This record gives sequence, structure tokens and C-alpha cells, in this order.
Amino acid sequence: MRVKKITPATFVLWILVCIVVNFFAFAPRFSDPLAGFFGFGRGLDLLLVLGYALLVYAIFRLYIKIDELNRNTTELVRELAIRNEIKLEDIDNEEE
Amino acid sequence: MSDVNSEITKDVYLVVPAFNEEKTVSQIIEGIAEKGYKVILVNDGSKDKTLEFAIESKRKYPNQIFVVSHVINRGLGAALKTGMVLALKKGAKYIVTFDADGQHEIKDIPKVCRPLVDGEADVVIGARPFEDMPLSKSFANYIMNALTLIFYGRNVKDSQSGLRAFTAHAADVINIVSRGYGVSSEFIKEISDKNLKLAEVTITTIYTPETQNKGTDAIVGLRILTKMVIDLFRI
Repeated sequence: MRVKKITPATFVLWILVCIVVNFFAFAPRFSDPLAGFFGFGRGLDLLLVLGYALLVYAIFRLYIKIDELNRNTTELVRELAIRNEIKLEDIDNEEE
Repeated sequence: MSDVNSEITKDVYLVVPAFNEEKTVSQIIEGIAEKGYKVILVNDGSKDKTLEFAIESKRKYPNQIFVVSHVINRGLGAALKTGMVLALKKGAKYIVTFDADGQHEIKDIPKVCRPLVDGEADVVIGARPFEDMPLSKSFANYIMNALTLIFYGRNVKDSQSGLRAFTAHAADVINIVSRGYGVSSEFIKEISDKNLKLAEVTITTIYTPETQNKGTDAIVGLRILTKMVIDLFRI
């Protein structure tokens, strides 16, 4: 059984992302030099592009996750089907 | 005469996936059992009376017809794999997949088994002549063949055929994960990846209103294409 918990490193990373995003949200002009470094005119543009990239990545991850869930469900349904192969005796016993 | 003798017939398991096929299921599986083959009917979460009719057929041929049922619909690929896993468990030497909608001829079963029995192939695909198909179907199937060639590097006459035959070894090594109609192309991919010997024999296809509504059309084709592209990114 695989229990996946968030690692301390990931936790710290998300906290940092939260702090940085909130900081730039309240003080957008501080993001301008950073945006200039990446070739964007405004900090907001950089933020939008980063946000878009993050969303695309999130959708991709979700797709993979849903696919994995689908596969697991199929495996489960298959196992159930094979274990419960239909036997005439069982049906007749139920009917009695 | 290309008939496979009865000694071999008993080693052949037919896997018939069925989703809402109450009109044809009994006729198909009883027709197969009548010829001496064993049949595994995989009811894929049908909402109609497919399962009930299959059980009735099993009463007529209790030692030849086996019925398993997916509690929810999981798609053609999933149903085929369930049937193949069960056939291997039951000691099948040869496994033939056969559509439940009545589009295949029972007399084609020995034809697709012959190259396996003769040791000429590990997998046989029964190729439907595209000239016999309605235009929309043949066009979609041509495209699917082209895509199968581009993505999986294998040029086959009919990549989407539902009539296929496998040796037990081939069925065991082939790993199918597609759930829907993409399974047909995935079989080709697996045949290539696992270096299995493939043979193709021409089969007859019966076109009825039921069979016309199923299978590969443009929309299904697009879905399969999307799946193929996504699979490229999968490790």
C-alpha cells in the first residue's frame, strides 16, 4: 500500500511559492525588474504566463492521475469478474 | 480443407466481449459452442439483457460457454483483457477474440487459427476487405492503418479488426492498457514491441445495421489518435 504524504521539502516549497505570489500581488512593482530579466514589460505579464504554464502542467498531472485511477478501477472490476465467474449452480441455489 | 481438427478445436478459447448485445449474443456464442470451441463471454456492464441471455446459452452448453461480468462498463479493451486472462487461467493454447455484434463469420475461426497451429505466427489478424465496407468506415480504417504505421511502425492491412488469434504465449506477454477501441492499435504496438510474429488472413465481414453503428468511425478515430499522442509522453 502506497501512502503518499507531502515531504518536508515540498511543504517548504509551497510555503515559499505562497509567500512570493502574495508578496508580488500586494507589491506588483517589485516584480518589474524580474519581469524585465525574462523579457516581459510588466510583472503582471510574467505572472500571467507563469500562471498559464502552471495550469497546463496541473491539467497534465490531473490527466495522468485520472488515467491511473481508471486503470486501477478496471483492474478491480476484472478481478471481481474473474473471481465471480458465473456458475449455474449458484444461480439455481439463489432461485430456490 | 483448412479446417483445424477437433483435437485443436478443444484448445481454442473464443473471447467475446459484449456491451448491450442482447440481439446477437445468444446466436453468436451458441453458434461458436456448436462447433466445439470454448467461449468466454465477457459482459461489459451491459444495461440490457445480454447477461441473462448469455446465462441461458450457458445452460445449453455448460462445459463450453463461460460467462464473466464486469459490474460496470470498462470498454472493449478492458473486456478483451479480462477474457484473455481467464482463458489463460483455463489453460487455453490458442485464444481468438470475436465481436459479439455478429459481424464475423464463425467459419473464419479455423482460418485465423491455422497459422498459429502451423507455427507460422504468434498472432493472426483477420483482415476485413475494405472494398466491402461502407465508405465512411473504410475511410476511417484507412486513416487508422496510416496512424498505426506512423506511431507503431507496422504496416497492417486492417489495424482495427476485432477477429484476432493469439498463441497462449503471445496472449501472456501482450500487455493491454487501453480501455476503449484504441485497443486494436495497441495490440499492433505490443506485437511490434514484443517481437511477435504476425500473420494476416482475409476474413468475411457481415454488415448489418448493428455492426454499422459500432466500430471505428471518424470520432472514434480522433479519440484513438489523441490516445496515441498522449501515450507517446508516457514513460
